[in-house]
Amino acid sequence: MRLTACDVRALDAGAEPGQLVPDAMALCPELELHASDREADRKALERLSVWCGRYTPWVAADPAGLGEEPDGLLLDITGCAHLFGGEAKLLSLLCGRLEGFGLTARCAIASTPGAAWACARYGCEAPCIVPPGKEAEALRSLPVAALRLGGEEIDGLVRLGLKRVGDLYGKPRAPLVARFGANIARRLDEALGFEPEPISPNLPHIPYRTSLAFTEGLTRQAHIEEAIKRLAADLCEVLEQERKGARRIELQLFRVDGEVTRLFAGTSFATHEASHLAGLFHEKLGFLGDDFDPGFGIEAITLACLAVDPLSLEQGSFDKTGEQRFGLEQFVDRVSNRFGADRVLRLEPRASHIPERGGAAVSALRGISPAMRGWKTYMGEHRAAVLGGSLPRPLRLLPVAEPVDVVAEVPEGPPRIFHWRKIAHRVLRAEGPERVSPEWWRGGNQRTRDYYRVEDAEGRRFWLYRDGLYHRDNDGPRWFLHGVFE
Amino acid sequence: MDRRALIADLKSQIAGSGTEGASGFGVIPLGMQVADLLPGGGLRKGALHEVAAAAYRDMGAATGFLAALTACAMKASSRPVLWCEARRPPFDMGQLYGPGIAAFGLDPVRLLIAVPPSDGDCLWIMEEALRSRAFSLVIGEIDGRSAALGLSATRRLQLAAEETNTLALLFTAHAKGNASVAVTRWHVGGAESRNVLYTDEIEMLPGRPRWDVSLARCRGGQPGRWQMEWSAEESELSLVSLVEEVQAVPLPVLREVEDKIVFLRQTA
Repeated sequence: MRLTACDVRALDAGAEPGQLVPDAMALCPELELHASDREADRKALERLSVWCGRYTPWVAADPAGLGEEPDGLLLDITGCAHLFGGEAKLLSLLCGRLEGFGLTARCAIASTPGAAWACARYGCEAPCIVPPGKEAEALRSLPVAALRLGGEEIDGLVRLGLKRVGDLYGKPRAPLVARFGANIARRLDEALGFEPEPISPNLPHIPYRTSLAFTEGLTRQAHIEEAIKRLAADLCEVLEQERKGARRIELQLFRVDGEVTRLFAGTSFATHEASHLAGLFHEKLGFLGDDFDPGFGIEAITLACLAVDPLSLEQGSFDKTGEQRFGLEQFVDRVSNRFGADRVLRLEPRASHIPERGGAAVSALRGISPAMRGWKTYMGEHRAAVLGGSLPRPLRLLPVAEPVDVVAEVPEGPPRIFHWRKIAHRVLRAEGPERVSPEWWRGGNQRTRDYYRVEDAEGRRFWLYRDGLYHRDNDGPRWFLHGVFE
Repeated sequence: MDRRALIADLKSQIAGSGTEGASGFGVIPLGMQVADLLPGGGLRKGALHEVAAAAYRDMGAATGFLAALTACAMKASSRPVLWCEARRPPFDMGQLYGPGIAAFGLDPVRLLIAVPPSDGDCLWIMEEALRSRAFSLVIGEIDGRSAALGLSATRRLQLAAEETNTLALLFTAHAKGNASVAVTRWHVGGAESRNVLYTDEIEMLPGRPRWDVSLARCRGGQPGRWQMEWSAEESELSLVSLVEEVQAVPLPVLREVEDKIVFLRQTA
């Protein structure tokens, strides 16, 4: 067992990461040990990276995309610092907040990610800002490990006597590359700004985003909603200028204690109507009700469009129909965002003869799909097959067919009496069988079904089927009730 | 002059309060034969109506009757219909099935289904739907015994329906319902369908959907009890005489094939 991390006091006592536990205990008997939990560490870092989203939308875990576990955050504050009163203010604000959360953090601002990384991890303990163009000076006295190199490369350099980053300045490149590969030269150039190094954030690129910060935390829902209205108005102004409409929006509520609540809303049509967007979050917050906890207050709110569509050129017709269509879509948006997209549905036909696969309910947020036009042909096909005006398919289909006890006159004939949900039904009229063969290409042991439409003595109509065939299936067919007719 | 204006004002007030009469409101026609049974000749728009099943076993029949009313509403207006499905007992006789709805004569493209998590949410959705003016008919499935469904809840729905001239329907399962301000209340049970014979064998087949419908309450009209039949082709309800009907068996189609007469199935 080895130590994976130590706090400042443990470091002072002589313990260090990578040390064997007995060695550390020998140095410092009063050492307090906790089992390391990588999953929890990763999650905590992820939460922190979301929280850092209030300073800049470009936050990446560090090292991003490498094999190692990330143990830091990279923030691209280009164009963001002035919103917080300059780089120095931003840095002290950030450090102060992190300290408030009880975290020990080392921060540095530099023109390149490499230089900032080196200063934060190997520079002085206090937060530092490297002015543009002074990277070489700032890194000169740091150990070569500050260049984000692998263990072998560091050992090799140290063996050659190149212990400081400054030792590498002005050295001929060719022998270095020949001996260690191109990595060392590349890392040095990246740190000094001779080679570009983009940060890839762990968030999708968000083109439209507005935020509001408050000096005093908001605790009342009405106040929060008012702030959302203002943000939506700002966002929609930008959208309208670009002739875009929002399809998916995200609301982030930053609590004073560092928790971030993220709410998502979708729309079924591209819109830049501020009151509609704000209304969607009104539904969300309303549905959360008492579950929504603003804690000690909401100190900042961010509203961002995750997906936009170009606005359709047809803008409301003169007759009433256009207006009504709009009302329908707004209704679908509101209800879907309040209760979930799977609670407002439209029916869609599917190309299958198996009854339960013949139709599906899909979210109405997706609008009318081309497949829904298929209902017309479906209706035509089935009308022709009906005898005497009774209908071929039931209005209600059970999600799972329920087994029933059946008495039939002849084994392959229609049922005469069946018991369903503890009630006996005497069948007077029956029509069938309508044979539905299994879809062999799906595999599994499905059996052939013979469907009967039956009517009992009181005039109630049901849809029953016999599962399996007498001559083929040895254990004998069983009966199921699958639907209830009108 | 002043007097005339006063008289005109009074006249308009009288006309306004007379919505209980025959001409003050729009209706959705249900069929030629059913027209005489209801005030105004159909189901009154801008009002709340209630449909209940006569017993738990008749939930299917009541669904059918609701679907018939929906089809009539779809015929009268191009706007879509919202159906709030409870999917909880006692509404546990299956979920609305697209192919069945299409076969019944409804247009599935114009049907939206909402699945509210609770009865209170169902009322909320219904009221929002009525106020959105986007629908021609809003149906809600709420157990009649539910605490959420009281006099004030139904009055809210009635007001919303009146304001937007939209038809609202409550499907209150089979229980004896709470107090309600609904304009009409229907109880629907199953009814034996007409025999359809196609061979000389004695084989009875189910015919067109048929229900035993009783109008338990009707503001401005007479309660009554009838048997009604649904025609999917015409999209209208018709009355069935309770007197033993003459079995109008459709004649089998005859066709000669090599001097042999065969009976073919009559298709609709």
